[in-house]
Amino acid sequence: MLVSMLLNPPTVSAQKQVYPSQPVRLVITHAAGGTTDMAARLIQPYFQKYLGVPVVIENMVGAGGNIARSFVFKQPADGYTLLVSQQPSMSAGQIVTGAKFEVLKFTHVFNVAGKNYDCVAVAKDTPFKTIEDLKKASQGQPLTSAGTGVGSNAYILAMLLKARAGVNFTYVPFNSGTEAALAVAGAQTQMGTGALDSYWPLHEQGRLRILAVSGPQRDESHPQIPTIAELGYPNIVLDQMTGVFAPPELPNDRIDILVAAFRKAFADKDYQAAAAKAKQTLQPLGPAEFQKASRQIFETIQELAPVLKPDKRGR
Amino acid sequence: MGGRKRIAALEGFLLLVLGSFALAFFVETRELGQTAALFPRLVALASLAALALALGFQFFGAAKARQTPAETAALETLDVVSWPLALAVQVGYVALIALLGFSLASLLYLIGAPLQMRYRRWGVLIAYGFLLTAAVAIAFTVLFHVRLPEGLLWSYLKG
Amino acid sequence: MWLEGFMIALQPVNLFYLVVGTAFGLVIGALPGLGPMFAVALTLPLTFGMDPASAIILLAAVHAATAYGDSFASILINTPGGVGSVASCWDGYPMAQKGQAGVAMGISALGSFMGGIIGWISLVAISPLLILVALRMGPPEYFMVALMALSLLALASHGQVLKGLFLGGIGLLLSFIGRDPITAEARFTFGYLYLEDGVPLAPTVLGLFALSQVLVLSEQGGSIAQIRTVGRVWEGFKTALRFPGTIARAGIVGIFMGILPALGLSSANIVAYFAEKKASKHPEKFGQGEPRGLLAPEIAKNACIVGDLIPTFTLGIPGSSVTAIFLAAMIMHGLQPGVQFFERSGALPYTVFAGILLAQFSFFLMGLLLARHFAKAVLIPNALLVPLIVMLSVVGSFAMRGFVEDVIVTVVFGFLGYLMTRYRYPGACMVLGLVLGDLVEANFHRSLLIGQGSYGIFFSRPFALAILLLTVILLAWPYLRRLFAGRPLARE
Repeated sequence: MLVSMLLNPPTVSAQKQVYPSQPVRLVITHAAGGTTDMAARLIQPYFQKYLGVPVVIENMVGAGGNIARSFVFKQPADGYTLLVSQQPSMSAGQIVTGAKFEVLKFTHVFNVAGKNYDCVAVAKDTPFKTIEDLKKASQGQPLTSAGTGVGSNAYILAMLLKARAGVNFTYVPFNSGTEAALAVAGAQTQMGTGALDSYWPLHEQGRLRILAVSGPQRDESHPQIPTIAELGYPNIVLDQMTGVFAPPELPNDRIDILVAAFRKAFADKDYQAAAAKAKQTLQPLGPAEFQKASRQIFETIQELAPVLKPDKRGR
Repeated sequence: MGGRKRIAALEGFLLLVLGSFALAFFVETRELGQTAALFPRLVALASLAALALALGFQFFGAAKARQTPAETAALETLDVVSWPLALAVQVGYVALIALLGFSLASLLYLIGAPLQMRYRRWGVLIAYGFLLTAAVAIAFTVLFHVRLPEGLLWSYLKG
Repeated sequence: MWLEGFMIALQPVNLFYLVVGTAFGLVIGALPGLGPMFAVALTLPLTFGMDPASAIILLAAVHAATAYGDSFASILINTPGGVGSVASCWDGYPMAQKGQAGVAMGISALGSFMGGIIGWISLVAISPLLILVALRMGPPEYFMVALMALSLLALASHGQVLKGLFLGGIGLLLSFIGRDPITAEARFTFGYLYLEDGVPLAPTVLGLFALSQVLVLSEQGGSIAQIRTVGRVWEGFKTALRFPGTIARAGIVGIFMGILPALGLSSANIVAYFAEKKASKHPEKFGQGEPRGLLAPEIAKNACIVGDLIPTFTLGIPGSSVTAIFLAAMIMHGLQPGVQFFERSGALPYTVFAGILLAQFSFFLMGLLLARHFAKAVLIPNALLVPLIVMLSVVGSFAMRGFVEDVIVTVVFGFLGYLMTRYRYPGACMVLGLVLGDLVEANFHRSLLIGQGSYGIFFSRPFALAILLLTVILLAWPYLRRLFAGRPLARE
């Protein structure tokens, strides 16, 4: 007991009264440089400024983000460990890959970024111009479509196209968005799905053609590309949002402190400028709205679950 | 080179561990889908076949002509510390980290391990232990933002 | 434009970042297990406040210097400094044991430098051409390349072909642990989340080579260098330049591994090592301190590092997780790499390229200053060195992801590695299997998916077929050569 007194002076008792009094960890589901990481790193200095304690970013890479999610899910709800994660991949982690956490039980603290759309692209030499063309061409023999692993956003979008637009194809999962995009550019597969960011540079260079984006509206940075909904499939919408979560049942007073810091950060001109330069679309949502949006995404994925569960036999 | 060659107990243990791993993986493939099972099954079988052939050659002397001295000779050692003891110390160090946290465990280890290897210059040891532990702990936590293991004991005492 | 680029890159502030980045990279590199990914990720947040040219120069300096610094630990203490320097242990460390640590450091410095220069020339001169090749590579071609690389297992060691194959198989099986890349089924994970990502490479090689060597050193006492000398760095330069064939071969391996997004640093050095062994007339000398066995991975590693940047700058998409960080740094500054970058950014691309070239010179010169002193580590008594290696290996395998399980992996493979060292099992084969497993398996299944289930896809594509034939010829070459020479097959 004496040792503990020596090593842990008053912090233990103090933390119960004043929050925050120690550094706050932001656990990121993916590696440095990814979209989740960038959203966190952009806001970190401002969040830290208005929260008043150091905010430390920790990339906990593994199992498509599920290691980080499961880890934070089990942490004490003291507001010192927060998770930065994306929807719908988080829902897919629970529903499709069966990871051990419950999305809706997480405390939804604040949504940071959003409107990070996925897209459908086709190889340069193919004649396809619309989703309809894809559907027609796929009736005789299935097409091949590149994407990333089971449960990823690229996979979810592909399955939506399959189930709701009736495009018939064999899904070919690659290890990264880059590899999938290159496969479409190299005409290894006829079409592909995935993050707009992965495909856009190749579209711009004329190495492949992006047909449509998955969002409810056109992408702000690339308004020339139509949405899948505009092409006649209003029930194919896949929106991505990146938000901050806390372990279940974080006390309300602590939620309020965190939300206030986020709101101030969002009001900061410097943060807005930095986000604009990095072409990040901000989507500030308080706990209630965030929870609602998150539940919507979760329910969509749940509804899709029978389609999304991979076929055990493969092929 | 004689025809038959005995396999040392430890070498047998190594082969047993690796062989059982291959066998276990092979058994596991029965529960997997076709795609997921194909390669593990093939590779596990091929590995076990290679192992069986290697052992066969060794026991029945067919590999007589191919044996090189390197294969038979174990490393010459001065036996300052026998390897099981050395291994136990490394494992103990890792266990100690889990228990006492990185810094304290490293300090004890950096001073204790050389002693075990018959190093007796106490002045050097103490300075070495403290300086290195401090340097590594500070570099990793402050500079590299790595959260070093804190130790179960402290978190237990903290309640 | 070039002149302007160099003028900007040579501004004092950029030179400052170059030197700081190099020093930081060398330190991280020298630390066991921590490679470019760790160092570059750590540097990223620092670049947000800089102007874009300085940001990229700093990252490039850290990137190149870390890859080079990784070899320090590999050569001197048989502890892979990072996943890019695993093969450098295999002949570098025996050289150090023989009292040639300085020579080995010289080979490493000049080799890494030449690799970097080869990579840089490819980046500025022929990157569009290389990209065309990269686009041609589909799953069937990757599968064939993986098979070709795996065929190198057959030359494991003399009289140890079967053991080599066995260990290669174990390495492949280890790589299959985790989620299946196609169906996402969990294999051999026992429901344990940690294992879903498979067996991590860095902690595994730290165990196999570093911790196992620690047990050997504990038994031996004394110091690593069995003769109390380290030799001269300068000797290493002369040695390295004696092998132009090696330089060309390893350079090509490195560049291709770099530009192909499915391959990278962790396989480049290992494949270059085995390829060099295959090309050598005296493969039995490899593993005993053969200079070519050190030169090849050194060149391939740093050529790969720069080659990795080619898709990033030419196509605007990252070839690896490290270059994804480069891309992130550019995007944070509102820059979009790819065609736009060259057309609309004025002198900036040239400044960046100049910076990348200067980064090579920077690590080379600073490395030389340090190499002689670092080399003396092999003279430190093992009683002091052993605990240091263990501590740094433990913290190195932990720091990358912060998982205690990674440390346990290191310890388990340390024990297995010790037994393998003791009975002279070719542990290198296990590593070859481990790094190639995903490539061979995932691309086989992808090919079948693309070919709608038909095996014809492997034979109907000229590129894939050519690689397959080449593999067959390479495998049969020792026998063919004797046939052509008219010598009887029975000899040897």
